Amino acid sequence: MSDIQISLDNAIAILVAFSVLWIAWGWYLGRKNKNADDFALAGRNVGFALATSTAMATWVTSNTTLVAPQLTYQFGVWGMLGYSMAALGLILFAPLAKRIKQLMPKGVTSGDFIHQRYGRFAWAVFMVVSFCYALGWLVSLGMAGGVLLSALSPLSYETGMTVIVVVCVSYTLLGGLRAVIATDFAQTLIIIGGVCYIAYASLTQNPLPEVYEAVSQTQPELLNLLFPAALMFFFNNIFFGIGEIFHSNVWWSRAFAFAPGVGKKSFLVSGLMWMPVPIVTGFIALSANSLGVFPPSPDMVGPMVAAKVLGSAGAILVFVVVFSALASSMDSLLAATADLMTHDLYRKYLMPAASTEQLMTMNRFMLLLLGLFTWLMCLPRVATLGALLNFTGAFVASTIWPIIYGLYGNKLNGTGAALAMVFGTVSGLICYFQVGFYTAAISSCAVSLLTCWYFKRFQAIDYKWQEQEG
Amino acid sequence: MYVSEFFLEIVVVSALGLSCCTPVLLLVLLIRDIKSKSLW
Repeated sequence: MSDIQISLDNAIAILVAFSVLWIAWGWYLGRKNKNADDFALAGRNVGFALATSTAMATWVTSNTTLVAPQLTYQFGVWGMLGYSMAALGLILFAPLAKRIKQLMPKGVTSGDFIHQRYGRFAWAVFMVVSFCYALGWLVSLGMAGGVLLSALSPLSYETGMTVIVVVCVSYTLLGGLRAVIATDFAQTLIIIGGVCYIAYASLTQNPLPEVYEAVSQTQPELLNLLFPAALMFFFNNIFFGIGEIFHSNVWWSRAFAFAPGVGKKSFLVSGLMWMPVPIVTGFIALSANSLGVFPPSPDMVGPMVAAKVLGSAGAILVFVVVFSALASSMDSLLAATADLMTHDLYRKYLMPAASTEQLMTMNRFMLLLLGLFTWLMCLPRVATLGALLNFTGAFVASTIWPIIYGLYGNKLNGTGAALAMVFGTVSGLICYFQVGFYTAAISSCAVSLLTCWYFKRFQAIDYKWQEQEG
Repeated sequence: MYVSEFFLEIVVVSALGLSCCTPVLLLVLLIRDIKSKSLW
């Protein structure tokens, strides 16, 4: 057993305790769900505190707790600052959330908006992008669960992955979005509290002047503000984060679910509160050198520093934080993707006259199906978390401009929006394979903008939102 | 062009300070929402 591993007994005790807690809570909250809106959108009246915490918790994934230290370890100061810029996605989505609620007070998914505003062709392209991203993220979270829980304890990859998938599916199935939002609140407190304690302990044992001295002597490039790959990563990550949030039904379903007047301020506050978190987790990685920690793989730098600073208690704390971070994102993604499948595929094309009971049943069935799909895809452990996620950057960044022009403009037509997503994604993928992962999102966004601009300039329409409202 | 120790200290200590405030702020907001019956 390595320094960062906790004992099998402790691992099982933690997993059982948290699993029972989340599932029981999900069941308790699920009793209030009377119709499809209650299940999918928590009754459309979520208050400020829960709205802010769920936006923040969903955006704090295993990436924030493990990949942010990894990127700081590889790209230095720009790694942690670049990662923290992903908060811009939440901050810039704040006005959009208000606009979405105004334009579509009875909307359910992001697909509803694209279908109404741009028509069937753009909707079909958007759904492909959405599903590629959602399934990529779901599978990467499932795999991360297996990889991390097996790295942090003697549990096998299959056991760790199965536990995280089964627990998240169970409580989401029982409680719907209400359970997701309520557990997110508790998970936010656990994650932020744990991360702050580890960083504080690290600073106390290993003061900042010593960290700076060690880094400047052994890896001075980590402090270099003109580190080219790190600079490119910084800007790419901004567009990746914005694309992820602007298009994903995870965030649109929250915009629909939050009470009137809550969406804008809760996204703004959650973005501002999220911004320092990757800097705190990233700093933990900068301490590695001066503490004599040399991880076998860069993504283990965070847990290894925590174990070095806090001993076995640190390993347990990391295990709990990572489990909470994984669950807080996976539950949201499961719920939002099941909504997309239920409302955009089943209700729109298979059963337009479905009753609210039928929609609730179908939503639960889709959740189970997604859980099973995720579990099956995670079993062979086909790719790494980072590789999967960066690949989706090419897809999501292409949706930024069609969504902005759709919400705030009236000139862009459906063909322009669809082609902007197609051309953007293709150029992003070319850059991903030919140049590097850190160029996929930025090139996708730029080509998508040019396409939108062309159609707005030469094939402009005069769309009237009011005519198709609600 | 390298980051100075002072800059790093400002960034890290500010980030840690702000992060520590987050759980407190969320709990205050939660209590406020419960009192005003606007939790859900």
